[in-house]
Amino acid sequence: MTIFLELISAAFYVMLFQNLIFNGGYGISEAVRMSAKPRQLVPMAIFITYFSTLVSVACVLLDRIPVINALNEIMHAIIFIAVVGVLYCVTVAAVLIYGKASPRTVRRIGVAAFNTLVFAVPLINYRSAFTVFEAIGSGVGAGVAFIIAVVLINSGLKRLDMNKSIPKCFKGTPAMFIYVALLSLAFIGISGNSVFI
Amino acid sequence: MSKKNSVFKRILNSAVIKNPLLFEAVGLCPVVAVTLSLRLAVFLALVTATELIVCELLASLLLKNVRRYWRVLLYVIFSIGVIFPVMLMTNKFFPDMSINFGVYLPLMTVNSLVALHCERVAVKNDVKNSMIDAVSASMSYGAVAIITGLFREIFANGSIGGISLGLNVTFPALLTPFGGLLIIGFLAAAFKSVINRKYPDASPDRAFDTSEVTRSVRGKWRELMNDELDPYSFGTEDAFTRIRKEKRAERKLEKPQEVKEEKTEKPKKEKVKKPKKTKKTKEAPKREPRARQSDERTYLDDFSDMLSELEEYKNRPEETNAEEKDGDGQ
Repeated sequence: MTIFLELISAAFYVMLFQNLIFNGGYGISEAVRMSAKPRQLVPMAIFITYFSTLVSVACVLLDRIPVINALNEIMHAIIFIAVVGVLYCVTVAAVLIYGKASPRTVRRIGVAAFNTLVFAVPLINYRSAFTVFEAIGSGVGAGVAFIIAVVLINSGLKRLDMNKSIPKCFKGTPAMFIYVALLSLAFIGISGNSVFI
Repeated sequence: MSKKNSVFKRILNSAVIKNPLLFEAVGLCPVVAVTLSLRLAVFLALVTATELIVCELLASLLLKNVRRYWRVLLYVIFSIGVIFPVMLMTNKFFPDMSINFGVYLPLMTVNSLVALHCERVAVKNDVKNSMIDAVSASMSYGAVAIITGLFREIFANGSIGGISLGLNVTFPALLTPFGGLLIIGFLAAAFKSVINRKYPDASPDRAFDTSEVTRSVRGKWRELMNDELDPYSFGTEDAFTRIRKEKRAERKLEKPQEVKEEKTEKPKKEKVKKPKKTKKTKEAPKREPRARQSDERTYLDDFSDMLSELEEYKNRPEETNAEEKDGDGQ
């Protein structure tokens, strides 16, 4: 039961209470660019969840090795990026050899593996001293947070696209940035931080 | 002159019209999270410029014949080569800066700005052109980051470069990602209005293609997997012509639909009539039996003629019949 609670609480923490994208800005460029291409959402979300979960768990397990645990944060960051790199190589090799994937799929893997959201998860786990189950929860939660962000931004972009009363100079990315800023403010409100003091 | 003009156009295109932050929404994470003051923003701009210039140089020199999926990994390795010494230096000489940056300094190794410009420009061009692009893009990125940091410091902390301005009212919410995004949004609008006035032919919206936005998020698995994804590409003329065509097609489709809807709203008697018409049309193939009937008539006529001939033959006088019999006997 405690294991389940650990997992769920970490996932909710990363998804809602401290949404990685809106509260931390991690992976916000990918979320914004992906929201303009909603048809890519499902495969990209799958790949991002896959990478964030596996990297998160692998890094927490590696951190249990005393030699690695004794290193400073800079060395930890390099080890984490090395884990992401190794996982990327393994995935690409597996997909090319066994899956016979198209170049598009391989391209998606590259974008999903090397972004600030996936790399931020092990760093946050390290700073928060998460357990293995909390790491699983944060990894899965990061993927779900990405989906939430993309769907919210996409629905806003649809409405902004249809709105004809927006001034010409605000059409496009300016209005989108302001909309994402308001979403970010809403999530900061959920997290309970006071922003106007 | 023409060379100078072309270089100027390239710089203008890379730095202003396709501004990586304002119009392409690339490399947002560190700017949104870290540019809390002018000092931090200047540091971020310098680190990003160094990283981008080094990576583009190495990419244009070494990675032209490397496959795309390995290039993405190599960009990260090049970035580590730049960021790792910076991390060590800041940790040693500027510990306060290191604390302020937190996890965002190592996160710059996976900056999407580097991957995008290396993939789009450095790999496809020679060193000179890729350097022009790297310098102009990093300058424009840095300029926006510095302006954002300046505004955030003034309105959130009431100071510039650590010197207090004595403002009574501050707005600390600007220190959150909300503030960063809000300032970037207003900066983008200001830049866009200036670009529209000075260069009416240039359209900065091309950098961020939103043609798919109106479509549904859901789709068939096969469609999703076969759909083209080029995250390092930017909006082209073709994309915009495609959007226009789609919009025109939608308008065309909407008009007849409206008419149809009006028709359907009218009493359903017409619908009842339609199947009758179809019945009539179905009668057309029944012409074949008519032809058959005509054939049958001709056959009956022939048959009646034969019968009449037989009757005539029977009614003939017996003599003529006997003569014919004799003739046959001889």
